[in-house]
Amino acid sequence: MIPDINRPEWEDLISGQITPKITSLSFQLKLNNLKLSVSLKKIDLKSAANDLHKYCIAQEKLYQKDLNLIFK
Amino acid sequence: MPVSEVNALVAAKRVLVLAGNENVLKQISKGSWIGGTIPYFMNDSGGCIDKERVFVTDFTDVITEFKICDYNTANLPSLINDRRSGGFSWLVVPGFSQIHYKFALEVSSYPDLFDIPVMGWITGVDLSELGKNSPKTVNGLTGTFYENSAVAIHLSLPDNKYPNLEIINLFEQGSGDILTFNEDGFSAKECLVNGKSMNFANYIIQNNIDTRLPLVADYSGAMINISIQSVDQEKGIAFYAPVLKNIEYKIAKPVDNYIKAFNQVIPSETSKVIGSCNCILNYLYSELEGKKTGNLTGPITFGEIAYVLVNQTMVFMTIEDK
Repeated sequence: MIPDINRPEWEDLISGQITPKITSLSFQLKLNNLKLSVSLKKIDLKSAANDLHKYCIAQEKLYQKDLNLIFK
Repeated sequence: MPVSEVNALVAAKRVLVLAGNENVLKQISKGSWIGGTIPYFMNDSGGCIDKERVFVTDFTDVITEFKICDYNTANLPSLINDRRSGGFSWLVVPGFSQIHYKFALEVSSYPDLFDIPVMGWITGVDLSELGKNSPKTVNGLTGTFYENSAVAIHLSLPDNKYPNLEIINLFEQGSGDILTFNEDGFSAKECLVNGKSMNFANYIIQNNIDTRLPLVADYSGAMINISIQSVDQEKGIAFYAPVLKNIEYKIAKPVDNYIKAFNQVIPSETSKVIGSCNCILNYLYSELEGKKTGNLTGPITFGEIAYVLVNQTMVFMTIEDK
């Protein structure tokens, strides 16, 4: 089960407020890409969080360990 | 594997990725395969150079469908939409070509890149033949060899499986200066050292930096290397992958013993690995000839693809149960 989009951790991940040790390569690259897009003002923080949430839904099994670490 | 055995697999309609010297790939019959030139390998006996045999990665038993596509500099972005949902793609790109540079510089901007794994490698030649022979890719369906087109095989998986693409990179950022660049490129004359503009070659020389150590960027925990190809005070620094503006790099911490360090981080379970590759610079700098990197075997390449182009990194793919 992917944590709800209203959980603050989604935006905190992208803003760098939290920096858990994510281990999945694709999650790391996707997150970094979104962080960069926000810092360059290509998208806003909320849109990036929504994008990451949607992305994780599609990859739920692969990211279970990382999600458990983020959403303790 | 000897050419005769590879041709038997091709005749049996196996779905393959082949790595070998150009002279041996030219002896392979047309069929459901893609290939790339490279004479360096990590096989069951250890690192080696071999111009007579072919390294075979056979996907037949794990996939449900495949499609082979060629990409030039005009249609490269269509790679993204050609991928199979729930599957993965394997891409070979000819080294030192325009398509190599275009892929490296642009791929991270392609939308939805990280939704479906793209693994692969940059093709090469015997280092003693650099400048004489060009690295090539092959579309096995047509038998066409390319110097400036990438070839991909897009693969579908059964509904109860999913792919996982990972890397093993022994390098991490050192504790030195933060290096940034004002533009993307495979070379740079200037760099910003902690925000202050400097001649990059002078910086490397004055600080006595070991150029076998890559520049390392931290992509939210993924360490992505950019290897240094050459240092010239007039022409600048040439890289094996592009540095990107807006990314912070540091020179890597040295790795004392590659094999020992590798064996400490290699996954204990490798039975689900369907393919891997490692970098020619790891082979050279860590003197991997005759040495094994666990049970992981594959070509030793001129660049590795794990969604994006990476250097001095082992890349591997596993197929997992849902």
